[in-house]
Amino acid sequence: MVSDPDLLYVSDLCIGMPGKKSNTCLAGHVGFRLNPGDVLGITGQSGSGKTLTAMALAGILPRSLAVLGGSVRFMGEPVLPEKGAQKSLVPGRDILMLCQSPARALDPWVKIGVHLIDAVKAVIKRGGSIREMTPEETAVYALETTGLGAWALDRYPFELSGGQRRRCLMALALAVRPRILIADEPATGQDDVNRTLVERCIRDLAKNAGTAVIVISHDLRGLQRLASELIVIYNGSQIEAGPVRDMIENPCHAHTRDLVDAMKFLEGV
Amino acid sequence: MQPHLLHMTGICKAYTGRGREIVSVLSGFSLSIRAGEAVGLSGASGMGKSTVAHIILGVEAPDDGEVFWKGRLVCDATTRPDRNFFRWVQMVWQDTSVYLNPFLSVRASIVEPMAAFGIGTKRERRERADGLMQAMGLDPDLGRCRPGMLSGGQCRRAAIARALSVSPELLICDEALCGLDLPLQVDIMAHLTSIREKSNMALLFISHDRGSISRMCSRTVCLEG
Repeated sequence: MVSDPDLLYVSDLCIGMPGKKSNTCLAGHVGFRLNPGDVLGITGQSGSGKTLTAMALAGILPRSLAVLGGSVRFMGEPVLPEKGAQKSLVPGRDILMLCQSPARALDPWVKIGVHLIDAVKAVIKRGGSIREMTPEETAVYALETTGLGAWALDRYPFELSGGQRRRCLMALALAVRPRILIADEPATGQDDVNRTLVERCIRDLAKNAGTAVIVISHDLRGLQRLASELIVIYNGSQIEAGPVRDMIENPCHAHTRDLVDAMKFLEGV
Repeated sequence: MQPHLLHMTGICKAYTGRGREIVSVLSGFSLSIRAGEAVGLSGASGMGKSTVAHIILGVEAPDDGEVFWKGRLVCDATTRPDRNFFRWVQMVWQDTSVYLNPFLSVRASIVEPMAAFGIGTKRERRERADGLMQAMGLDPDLGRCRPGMLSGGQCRRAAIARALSVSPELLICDEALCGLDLPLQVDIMAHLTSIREKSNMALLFISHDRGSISRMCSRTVCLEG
């Protein structure tokens, strides 16, 4: 009997700068499996390539960078970087990335409501999961779930605070319910109440909509609450992977130990 | 006791939602910071923490109230701080990837405020920029890169280096440690504390993270709706 293929299978993914003579690898040897409802945490040194890996999966790498090696399979079919890949990930329906900088992710000329409603309409057009609600109702529901409300529909991004903008991005994920969600620092800049709200939204998406979530964060405690598996990236390479609880209790690599020690120092343990 | 460096009193600020309702963010807010003091500013999201910083810098005008710098009025409903004010007050903004000029190299961005205030020779400015980058855990080779080529955490460290470049008397950090790995947060906190102690720099540390506020600051001001 052949078991169902993983929703997303990433093996030895290497991203870098293609050169005339040689390629420069910026992030490499990243590998993991994701199934519907899984939550994977990615943490590591600042500037080690966490966001680059996520951007490569979402297909939004800057023009100067490229996927140099490895394989990415979505439901068993190659999507990146093999030549002649049949299937491609449909943005919004299959994969959605919530960027680290909400000020750059949201168009300053477009109201929050238009961002959300257009995204829902685009995903419905591409055969995404359809709710028994109009796009407008979906947008209001998503905003209310993230602690904002219908009032935010009529606001431009610059009329909101940094934390509120970040929650608008979370509302976008709730509205379109992608198969894979990449959340880059989703709870950064949030107070405790809203951090809990964002974590609840991610858990709800994973549990009820079957979304596979990749959370990139420096907050190890937050990852411990959310994720089952954790990947640590250091200096452009994946150095450790495993169940999040085990890694925090018994870190193997020196950098993971540094991360856990720093977390305990900041917590005053 | 040190005299007040910054004194804000009776600050009121409300935003009008395009001719409809009025959202009051700050009403009667007061804050005093002495030289060498580190003050934490916390509160729920959207309570006006960043607005306080914007009002100090004159980016936004308060509806009512005054901001005094060393006893001199710098900012009220009609007055804006002059250029020299920024020689002594610098800020690390919340969204650093937008704040750094995308067309300048990172080193040029760090050197720019020093050049604007005529601090040091060209060579000294460059050496100071490299030294600050190293202190922030950034490889000076990254100085040639544009901000778009750097990660979010690297941009943030470059922004802290830029703000420190003119040796300000007051540094305002708006979520300055977000997006940095934890060992680096500990290092930068130690670095900022040592600068504060050595050069008597005051610090207004805006954050949601109570742990870092309690480690950095001697008192905390909490904003509530």
